[in-house]
Amino acid sequence: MMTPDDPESQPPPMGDNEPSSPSWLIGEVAATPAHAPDAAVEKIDRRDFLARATSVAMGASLVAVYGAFAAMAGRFLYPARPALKGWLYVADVAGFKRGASLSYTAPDGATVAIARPGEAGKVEDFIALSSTCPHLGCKVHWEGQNQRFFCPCHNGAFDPSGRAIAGPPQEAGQSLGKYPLRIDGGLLYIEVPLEGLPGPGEA
Amino acid sequence: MAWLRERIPLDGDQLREMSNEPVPNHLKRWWFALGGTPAYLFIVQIVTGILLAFYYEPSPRTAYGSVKYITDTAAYGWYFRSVHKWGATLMIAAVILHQMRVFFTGAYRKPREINWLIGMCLLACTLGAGFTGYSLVYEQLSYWGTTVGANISASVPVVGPFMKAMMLGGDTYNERTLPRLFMVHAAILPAVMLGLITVHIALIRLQGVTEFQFKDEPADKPKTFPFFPDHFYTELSVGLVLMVLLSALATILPATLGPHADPLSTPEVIKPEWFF
Repeated sequence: MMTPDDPESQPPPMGDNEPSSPSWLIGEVAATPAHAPDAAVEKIDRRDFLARATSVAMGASLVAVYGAFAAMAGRFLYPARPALKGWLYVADVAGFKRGASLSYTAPDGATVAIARPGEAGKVEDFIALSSTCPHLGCKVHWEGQNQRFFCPCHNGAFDPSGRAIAGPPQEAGQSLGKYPLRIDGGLLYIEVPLEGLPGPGEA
Repeated sequence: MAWLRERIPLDGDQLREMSNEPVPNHLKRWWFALGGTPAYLFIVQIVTGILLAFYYEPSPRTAYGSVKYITDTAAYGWYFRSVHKWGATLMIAAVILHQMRVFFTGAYRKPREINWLIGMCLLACTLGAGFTGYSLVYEQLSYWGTTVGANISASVPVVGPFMKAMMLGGDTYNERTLPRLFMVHAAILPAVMLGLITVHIALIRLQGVTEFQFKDEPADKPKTFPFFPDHFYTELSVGLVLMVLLSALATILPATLGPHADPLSTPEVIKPEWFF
């Protein structure tokens, strides 16, 4: 390692290179400096070179080791996998009459309003509305006397088809989210998250 | 820059002045860089410990499952858990080696007796962190290790039963034991150690490092060299070597997970960690 008292790290004193030059020549030498190319090219001796190479190697090692550590830490903190989803049985299609509706509880405790507005009995005739408000994620609940879903957080309201009719969701033109449905062998299935926090009493 | 300089009135010269601790020449021998090693490992433990605490859940129902999640599911969880485990092992070894160096060179003598005692407290805290940390895994051996450890502390005259009750949060291992051990491991011990390390280093700065003269050194040689950059670079190199060593150990011998704690059956072979 280089220290200030190391004689090799001191630049040679300027002007002492040609002590034999007569004093009357100084002006001329200054006008046409014969040793200018030497001064412009920086001289590196072996010691200097090794010191610099070591510094570069040290810097590169620090970046590599701690950079890799930080990248791994970031990956560690990011969720390991997307939320698990699965298809779960809801009801028998034949027994689910047109105009009927039911409240379905997903494994994570979320309630889903499922209705059958259509007649034909195809999957398009069913609708499964999320109970999560599209505004900021609070839970909506059904108000039978007003025939609407209501969100207590910012007074958002939705009609039975899930379209916003009041509050911030209406201003933003949002609707309640829909869960994917599927009919298989005359049975109705819904795709819901399988992971989540249970509500009180379900633990 | 000028904007920042006005608000933080500190320049390069002042920084140099603050770090300009003259370091005795014998610290060029690697054997004497052992004080910085536990300090570096302490930082590694803090960083990996904070990472692990993002997923660890200290309760008998969830502790084992969360350690399993860290080990098997979370990305690089096995790595951070293993580095934390090996960091603890190396830290205890480094603290003991540092203590032996100070003891055999007589560096604990006047006026450094208080710093020796602070060092002993740091050793006790390190062992305590090792004990509580191992308890948190909630596997069979760690559960029974904690039970046996608590009962050993209960055998101390007069204060024993009080110590055991404080440790377990009750007469026996119960629902509230793990949160207690977790708080001691993750908050109280690190805070106490941080304070002790600060005083430990402050006393070194005040008293200077003990100077030694070796036989092969000429008498007229300067007795010290500057902390920055010489010794600072040494410590950086030690840090890098330790990081590589920890990663290698974590990869070759990763932390394992035994069977879930069962308070109704003691395993056949039960022994404490090597440092106890």
